[in-house]
Formats: sequence, C-alpha cells, structure tokens
Amino acid sequence: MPQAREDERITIPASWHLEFEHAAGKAASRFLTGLRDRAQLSASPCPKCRRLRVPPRSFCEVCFVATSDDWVDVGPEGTVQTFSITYAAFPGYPTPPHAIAYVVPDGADTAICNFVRGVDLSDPERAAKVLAPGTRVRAVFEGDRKARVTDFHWELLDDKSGRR
Amino acid sequence: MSDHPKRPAAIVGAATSRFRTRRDDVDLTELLLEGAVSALIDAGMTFADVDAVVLAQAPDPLHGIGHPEQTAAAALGLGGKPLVRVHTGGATGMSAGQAAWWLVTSGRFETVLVVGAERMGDNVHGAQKVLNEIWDPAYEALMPLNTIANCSLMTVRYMQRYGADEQDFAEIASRMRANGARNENAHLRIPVEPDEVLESPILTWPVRRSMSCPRSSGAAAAVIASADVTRRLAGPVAWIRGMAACTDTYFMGDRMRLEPVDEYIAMHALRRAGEAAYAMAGITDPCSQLDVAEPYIPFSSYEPMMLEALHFAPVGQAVARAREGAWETGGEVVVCPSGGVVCTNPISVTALVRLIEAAQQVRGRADGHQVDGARTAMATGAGGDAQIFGAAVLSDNPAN
Repeated sequence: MPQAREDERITIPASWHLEFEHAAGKAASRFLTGLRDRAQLSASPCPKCRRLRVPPRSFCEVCFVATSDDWVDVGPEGTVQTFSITYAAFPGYPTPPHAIAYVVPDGADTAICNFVRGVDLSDPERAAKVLAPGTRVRAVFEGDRKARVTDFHWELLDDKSGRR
Repeated sequence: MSDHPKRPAAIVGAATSRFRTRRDDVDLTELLLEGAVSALIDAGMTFADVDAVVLAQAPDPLHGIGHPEQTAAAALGLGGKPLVRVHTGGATGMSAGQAAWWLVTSGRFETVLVVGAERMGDNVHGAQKVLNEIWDPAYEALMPLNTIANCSLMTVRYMQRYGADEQDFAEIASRMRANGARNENAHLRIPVEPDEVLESPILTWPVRRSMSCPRSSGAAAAVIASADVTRRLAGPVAWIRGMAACTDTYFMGDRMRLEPVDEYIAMHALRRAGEAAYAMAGITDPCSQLDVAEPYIPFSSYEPMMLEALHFAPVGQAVARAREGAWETGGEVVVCPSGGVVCTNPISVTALVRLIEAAQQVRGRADGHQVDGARTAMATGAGGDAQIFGAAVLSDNPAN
C-alpha cells in the first residue's frame, strides 16, 4: 500500500456552462428593432431634463420619470468621445487587434459603444491618433440585421483628417 | 439624517494572507478561517467576542464556488450569530467594511468581523471571462468590453485632455511595484523599471501588462468594535473617522457629454465619497492632513484621475505632482505604500485590503512598508465600470 503523503493536495476540476435568454426590455427592444427594420439610431428624451439618451432608456435615472414616447432619430454621423484598442487575446472576444469607440451621434446627449472598422490598427500609436476623441465617424449598418447592437459599426468619415 | 455616526468605532484587529496566484494548499473554508483567525489574534480576541459577521464576496464565478456565504458559515461556525454577504464588485471589501461599521456605529452590535477570501487563481482561464459579463445584456455585452478596456476608455480621455503619456503611467507602475517589494503580503514583489513596463505587452492601448493588477488569491479580515470594547483591548486601534460611499450611473456613455456634472474621468462618485468621508473626519486639506493613502488603483493610469478626484492635486496636475515625488516618502502623501492593487488584486477583498493597509499604518503595524509617523490615512474602494466608490479616513486619534 502506498504511503500517504501529508503534503499532497488534490485539485478538483470544474466548469460552469450556463445559457440565458435575457429580456432586452421595452426601450432596448424598440431601439434594436429600429436598427434592424429602419437602419436608424434612435434616442429617448426625458420629458423633464430633455436629456436625449442613446442607447435609449425607458426612464430617466436622474429625474426618475418615464422617458416620453416621441423618440428622435440621431446620427448616423457622430463624434468619438473615447476608444479602446485591444491587442491581447481574451476568451470569447474577436481575434485582436480590434477597436471600439464611444460616440455621441449628432443630435444626442450621450455616447453609445460599438466596433470601429476599417482603421489600420497595426501601429498602436498611429491608430490612437486616428481614433482620438473628437474624430468624426459614421454608423454603417450591416446588410443582414438581427436586432442586435452589432447591426451597425463605426467607420471614419471619408475626410482623411477624420474631422470636419 | 446626519452624516456623522451615532458613536465612534475602530478597527481593532486586521490581517491579510500573503497573496499569490493560487492557494492549492487550502480550500475556501480553510482560507476564510486563515483570515478570520489571524485578524482575531491581531485584536486579542476570540470568535466568542464577535457579535456578527459581514462577508466580503464578489461574483461567485471568479472562483467557481456557488453560495460562498454557506461556505463562510461552515468556516466560522457562527454559533447562531448573523452573517450578511456584501457584493459591490471591486468595491466589495470597502462596502463590507462600511456595513460592519454601520452595524457598530448604529449601536446594534459591539464587535463585528468583516472577512472575505478570494481564489481567482482557481479560474483556469483568468478573470476576464467573468468580468466580460458585467455589461448591459442588450447594449454592451456584445462589445469586447472588460475592466482593462474600461481603463483604456478613461485613460485615453485623460491623456488627450491633460497631456499625460505612457511614460508617466510606466513611472507610476514602477513606483507601486517598488513599494510592493517592501510588503511581504504583496503578490507581485519584483520591482520593474519604467522601461520594462513600456516593453511589456499592450493589453488594450495604452494599458500594458505591467501597468495592470494581477489576479490574486488569499484572505483578509478586520474586526470593527465600539469604543467600549476598544477600551478593554491592549493593542493599538485605528479609529474610523469617516466612511462614505457614492455610486454613479451604470452607463459610461452618459458620462461623456454632459459636462461638468457627469464627466467620466472626473470620477464624481469617487470625489463625492471622498468629500463625505473627509467632512466626517474633519479633513479640509488632504495633502497636509493625511500621511498615507491606499486608494484602489487597479491600473497605474487611474492614479492621476483618482488622486485628483480625492483632492490630492488640482484637476490635470496629479501627473506633474507625481513627477515631483509628491506621492512618495518625504512627499505630500505616501500613496499605496503597500504596492496597492497594481501589486495585489484578490477582487473580493481588494478594497478590504486597502482599508486594512490604512488601518495597519496608523496602528504602526505595517511592518516592512510602515510609513514613519503615520497617524492619519485614507483608503478607497472602486467597483463596476468606475461607478461604485467607497472612501474611509482612519486615525490613531478618536477625535480632533
């Protein structure tokens, strides 16, 4: 019989694999169907403070009142507020490099996040200059839209400076 | 409602593990017990002296053990005493400490143990898969967001506005790593030069690996007691002179346009939490009144905006102050003498470690990284997408 080792420690493998179907809710459902059916970004107005939020919400968390139903189409052009370029591989994410930006669509008061496509990310410093806050971009809609936020992405405006 | 507590309370004992990536020598119950027993010994108490327990525990999938509050009950026995679990993401440990403080200052209990254990190293593929799941399901979950990208989003904005650069962030990281080398409980204890930081891989530009916190496993615990209990103890105590929390909107994009109220990199929720804690503690000039700060800075590029929010420097000037040595021994306030979160990040207890580090400094029990003459210290916790903040001011003196 092998002798017991007092210092031996056993490890037990385990994994969690869970699937969900999340309710997108009233506001996001309307926004996402707008992306799919009309290829439009829309924003929800607060009847009290007039903040025009994108992505839309069913209530204004500052005033604590329901947003009104008279949503406004915003964009498709907008201004980069900030960005992130991922160069490391993370589980479940696209093969790097890839870039996202928070953009205030023209007419809106808040920013919405999406991928930026069509920018050469091979040189981080150069890419960071191209995507600098203030850069003008346009929402470009996919052909096959599925009522997901990924129904659109950002691309630089044709203007080479990215600004106007 | 008064901001000031009904009665004073102090941290009378505290302890942390020596943090490392994995703790295969113990299971979760044994790790929790390690923290609890060490803190009680430090206080000169036994579990019989404890009236209630607050468990600091961030998301279960970080270590993959469901319902860790049950595990904690098993570890501590409890013997009919109540336990509550607190979870506010990265801020968990500070929120748990605040809950324990409320339980004592309200008069409900005399002695409360706050304890937590983290085993992030058990998560084979790292924490980011879990931290990818903290985003809004409809609007952001399909984006490659995580806490590192979150840091980039803020850093990019800070760099453009105030002119900080990668060299600055590398020097901050190098300073924190040098501090961590003096702290025997820190996870990363090998110093790195700024050049080495800049040679480490980019995770999400401009955040590099050596600017970033590790994933750490270990326990932390503190005993918070009323003044009556404190009088019966022989050891040094850290009076909790002020403690406050503040939250901001979840939606980061809401904080990027409506200046100045909502400006993302101004970290208004951290500023408000700090100001409230300062007001309770009678702090009107943090740099002259505080000896030590242990802010929750998980990436070195967060330091400038966080220190500015905490009024350590005027907006846009924390980097220039750092270059002058303001946050080092002999400067204005020693920032993260423990090495901070950049050296040690056991998420469930990271913010509790901040509170404990501040307490040990004013108790004179910070060993190799003790700041000489430290009498007043502050600590913070940060959770969510730079959204949930707590702040505490500790002193060796119960009143001004």
